[in-house]
Amino acid sequence: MSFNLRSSALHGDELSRRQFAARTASSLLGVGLLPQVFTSKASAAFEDSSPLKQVPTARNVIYLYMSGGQSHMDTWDPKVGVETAGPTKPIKTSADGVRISEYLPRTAQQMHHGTVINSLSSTQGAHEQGNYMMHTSYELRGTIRHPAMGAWLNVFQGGGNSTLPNYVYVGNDSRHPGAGFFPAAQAPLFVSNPENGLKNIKNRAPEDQFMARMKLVDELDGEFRQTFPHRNVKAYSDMYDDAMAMMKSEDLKAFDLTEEPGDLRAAYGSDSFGQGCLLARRLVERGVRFVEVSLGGWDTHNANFVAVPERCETLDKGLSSLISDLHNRGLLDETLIVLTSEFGRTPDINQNAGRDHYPKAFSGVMFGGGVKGGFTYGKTDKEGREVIENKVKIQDFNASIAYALGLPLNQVVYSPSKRPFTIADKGAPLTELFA
Amino acid sequence: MKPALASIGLLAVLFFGTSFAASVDPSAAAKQIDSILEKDWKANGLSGNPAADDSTLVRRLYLDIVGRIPTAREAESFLNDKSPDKRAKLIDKLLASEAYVQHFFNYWADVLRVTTNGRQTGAITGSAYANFVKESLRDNKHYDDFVRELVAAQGKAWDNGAIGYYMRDRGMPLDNMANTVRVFLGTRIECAQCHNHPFDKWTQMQFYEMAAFTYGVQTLDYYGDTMDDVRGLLREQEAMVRASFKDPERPQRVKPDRKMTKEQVAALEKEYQRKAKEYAAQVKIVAQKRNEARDELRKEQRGYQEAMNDVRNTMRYTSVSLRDRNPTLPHDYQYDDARPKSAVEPATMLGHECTPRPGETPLEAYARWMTSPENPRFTTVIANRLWKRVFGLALIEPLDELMDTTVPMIPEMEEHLEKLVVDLDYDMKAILRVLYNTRTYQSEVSRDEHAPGDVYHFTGPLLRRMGAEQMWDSFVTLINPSPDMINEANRDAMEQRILQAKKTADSINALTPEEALDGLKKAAEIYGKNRSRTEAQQKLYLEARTAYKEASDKAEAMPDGPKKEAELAKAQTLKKKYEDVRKEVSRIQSEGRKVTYSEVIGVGQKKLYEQVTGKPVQTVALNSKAAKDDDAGGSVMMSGGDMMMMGSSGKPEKILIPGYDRKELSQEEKAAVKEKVRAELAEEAKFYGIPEKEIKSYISARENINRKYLRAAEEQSPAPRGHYLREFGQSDRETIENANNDASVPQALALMNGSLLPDIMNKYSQLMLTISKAQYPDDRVEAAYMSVLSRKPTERERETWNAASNSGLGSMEDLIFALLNTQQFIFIQ
Repeated sequence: MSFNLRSSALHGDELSRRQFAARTASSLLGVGLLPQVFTSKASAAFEDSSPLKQVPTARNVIYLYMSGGQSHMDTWDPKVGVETAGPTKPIKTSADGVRISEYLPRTAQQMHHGTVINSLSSTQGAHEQGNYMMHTSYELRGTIRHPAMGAWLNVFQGGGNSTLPNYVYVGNDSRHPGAGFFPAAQAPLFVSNPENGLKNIKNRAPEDQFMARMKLVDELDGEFRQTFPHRNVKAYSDMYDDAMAMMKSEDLKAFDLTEEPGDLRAAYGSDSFGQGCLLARRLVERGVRFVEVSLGGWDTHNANFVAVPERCETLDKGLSSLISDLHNRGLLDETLIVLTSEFGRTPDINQNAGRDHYPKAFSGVMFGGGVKGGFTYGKTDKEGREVIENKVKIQDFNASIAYALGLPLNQVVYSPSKRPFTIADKGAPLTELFA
Repeated sequence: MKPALASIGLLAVLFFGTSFAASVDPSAAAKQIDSILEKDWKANGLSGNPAADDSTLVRRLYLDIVGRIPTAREAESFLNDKSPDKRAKLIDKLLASEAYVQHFFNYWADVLRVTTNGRQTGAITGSAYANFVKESLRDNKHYDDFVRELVAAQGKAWDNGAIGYYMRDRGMPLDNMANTVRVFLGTRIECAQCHNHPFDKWTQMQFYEMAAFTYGVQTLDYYGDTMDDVRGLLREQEAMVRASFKDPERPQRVKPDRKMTKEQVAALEKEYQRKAKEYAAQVKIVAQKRNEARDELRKEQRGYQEAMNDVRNTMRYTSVSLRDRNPTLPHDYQYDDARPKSAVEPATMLGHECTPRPGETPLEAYARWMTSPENPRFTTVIANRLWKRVFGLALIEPLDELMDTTVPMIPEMEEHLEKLVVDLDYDMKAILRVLYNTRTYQSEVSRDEHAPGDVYHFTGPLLRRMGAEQMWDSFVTLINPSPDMINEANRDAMEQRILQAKKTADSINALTPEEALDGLKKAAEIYGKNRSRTEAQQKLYLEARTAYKEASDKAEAMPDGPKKEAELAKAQTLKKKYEDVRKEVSRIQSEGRKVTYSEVIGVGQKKLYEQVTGKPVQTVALNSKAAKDDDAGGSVMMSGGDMMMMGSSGKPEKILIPGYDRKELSQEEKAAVKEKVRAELAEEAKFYGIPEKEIKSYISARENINRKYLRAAEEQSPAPRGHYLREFGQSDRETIENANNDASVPQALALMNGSLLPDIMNKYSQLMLTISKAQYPDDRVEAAYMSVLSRKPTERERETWNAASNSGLGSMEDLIFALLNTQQFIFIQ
């Protein structure tokens, strides 16, 4: 399919800025130039790999991570007439035959844009391990860190056409694997509060004083820089140039959520997840290609049926607004929204009226980005205990995201410790998901 | 009780005596190294770098040994010192300081992935582990002893912080072994976990044989020993329930009497068949009854399990023990020397064999093998680590990827250095002292850039960027007049956390299993009612929420006016209603835990108190914590891991046990401590010539600085994301030596635009106090240069600054901004 490039049309008149833009992105994130992982032995591995022929269906990913383990039983895979259903009821959606939980009424009206996968199955039943596997496709190990999908995207395809970092994480999860074994420059830009924008982006002095100060820096440091024309010294000069370019960048406006009409901001929800979704849309519009927004509070061991409806209200506002907003702007076709969690929760309701960790069967959802609308893939049994159709491993799920982005699934990349890795650890993409 | 606050006067650097390996004279040993290097330079047509001047050296020595720039005063006092051995003296002084501990802790925390933030290692063991590393550096524990204690670590966090070494890789014994071999033997074998190593000689079998040494190390949950017995009691209960259903009597076949008729025999057989059938039916019934009873019991016991989890959560991840356990090969093992899934016995992969001595556990024997001078790579690695710390590059790069074919850059130097390490008995300070005293170290850094992979002949140290901690600690130095001050509050909190866990564990263990079971039973009864009580509230909650939404939607749709107002008010009432229900749900959900705390841990504490003091238990009313509504009627854990309970008077109380708790300070005592600190600060103010009427604001500014600007090693490890330390490249402690010194845009942004400059410009910062002592503008410029770069400005720099002053710039802030954003500031020459 072809991209709707309305997002870049926004910047058609800013060509000269694009030139340094490419440099900013590449120096901030090390993209553009392949980092040192692609040397000698690594490039030899490329020759053996069989590049999977695929046409990308999505340019951007907005990845919504439900931290803590979202109850599939009370969101995407509600049951009827069995004890495991609890008080949760399914409702009809805008797509024939797709039913989701009553706690997500707004999202229900957008289901014609998306696919529900009700057959995810993981081997990791603890938060840290599950979260890590969902983000990296690999088991958590003490000897290595694996990269998350945004870092793979940076390495293989580089940035969008933005002065902004290509990979942004909105949330507060200190466990995020980030760049893994790739250079730190491939890590996401961490934004903990979507309304606060980028840290340290404004100088405190008036513009002309600031410029005069920077000139003084150059003058006072000239001799040192001449004496030591080393690469790592030079890197600092470049970095200051890039930082200053970024301070002046028009793209920073992406972080100014007050530009949005009040009712749209309110529709997304005033919490940081809702505003994070809105920020994600504004970033994607300006060429940022991978944005993750996280929503915590899903670890409902106690009083599941009080906690989940509350979480769902936040999720429902943010997600449904994001889908319709992207759609209205013609960006949904090129933007894949992915929603998932480290695991599901037990069908059996425990003695604290909660649900416990359940990696055996749970759900993920995708919207836009070339996936089928109004589609359901995979099935659990009547009580939500076992996957009875089309079991999807975490690696397959992640391979599907990579497939949508046109990333080379078979290409072997060596870590600095010379161990071979691939995107999604040999998972098979679920090609049936795509229209 | 220890003093609540150490002196934070002007000389916060503490001095400790150091012993020195008597057999080696450091200056002679340094000369020997110089002469080996000179020989190598000669052979390669090179000469050594020119000697570094005192200004360059004082900055470098402070940064290299204690991890921060010197203050203007420290630099000047060195520069003005006329004694010929002032360099050696400064090296000794710095090596003996607490600041050395802080700086080298940062390094080892990166190598060993020490975390105190409660992640993988847990908050309790993580704190104990960090303390262990710091104490080892403070005591200058010899490196081989240090490693032996880590690798053989066993026990509880409060007795042995070294168990953090195993807890860090909890649940990943194979990865832990690969890390051990990399960190201490400089050898990479993680590839061999899944198959024979593709680029080195190691086989998968060797990997498993090595792993077999430590595979029995257990890092599982710790509940306290009494809880193990409780679990035994619960299992007994189950056995008793089983036994209460008697097995039916199995019918015996009666041997037919010879006299019997055929019919009689047939009847006998028929009777037997009937009984057998009946028996089979009975067996089924009994089995079913047993299962029902067992399920019933287990359901009941689930409440116990919940209560036991409450106990466990107060001291999770605090125990490492050893059991007999061998690893088994993976199911897809593909080589001929063994079958898949077969068990593997320990065997060393290199060096000599490891044979336990009488009385030694296998783990102790393994640790002894690991750290033996006969294990050549053990010495190679530490020799290169220390050499790299000093010169900026190891003789073997990378130092943790040794192979049989590895050739050091200067083989004779490597050989000599390793011998020195062994001669000095792995005394790290003694080794560093020798290296810092070499003429080569005290030369200028090399002008040429060293390209990775090239041989370097060590004609001098390399130019290096400060590490993240050196950058942060240097900013601390510019801001805090006592830059090396200890974070008493943090150290104290860590110590308390460890002690409170010990208190809980010992309290549990003071109970008999029966007593513990009694307490658990009370909590279990509450837990048993949790579901029905919560579900009742849940229903109310959903109803109230729906009603609220309806009312609120209805109100929204109305035109403005009194009717809308009324509807909105109604919605608000409904909202309050469901929020109240929400609160009730939380209360119900925390009730069981509170009962566990008071009826199990609290009862244990009382017993422990009586055991320790021999007196009846006494509680102490807490004066610091105000009781909250929902605390009533139970006990709660406070963030430091200590427990408070509601006394009969309705006020929070605590049981203070000698040896576990400090005496709670009275308001007066607290005030006295605070007053003492203030008196010291007032003293300091006088030293800086602060006028009397400003002293109050000086003290409050300094108290603020003391809270905010403490050295990296005094903060959480790693610092939280977003902290300057992380922007500067501090390791996240996820993998070995994960710090990075790359330039990055966020770093440049932080230096230009962050909150550091305003705090440095605070009139009571170290830098501004120094500058404001100077009388004339030229002296102030000099003071700024001395503070930031440990030298006077050159003539050209003075001219540049004067020119800038004439064209719009001119404030000290302009100059300081400029100096802090130069690259000479963050590079170590």
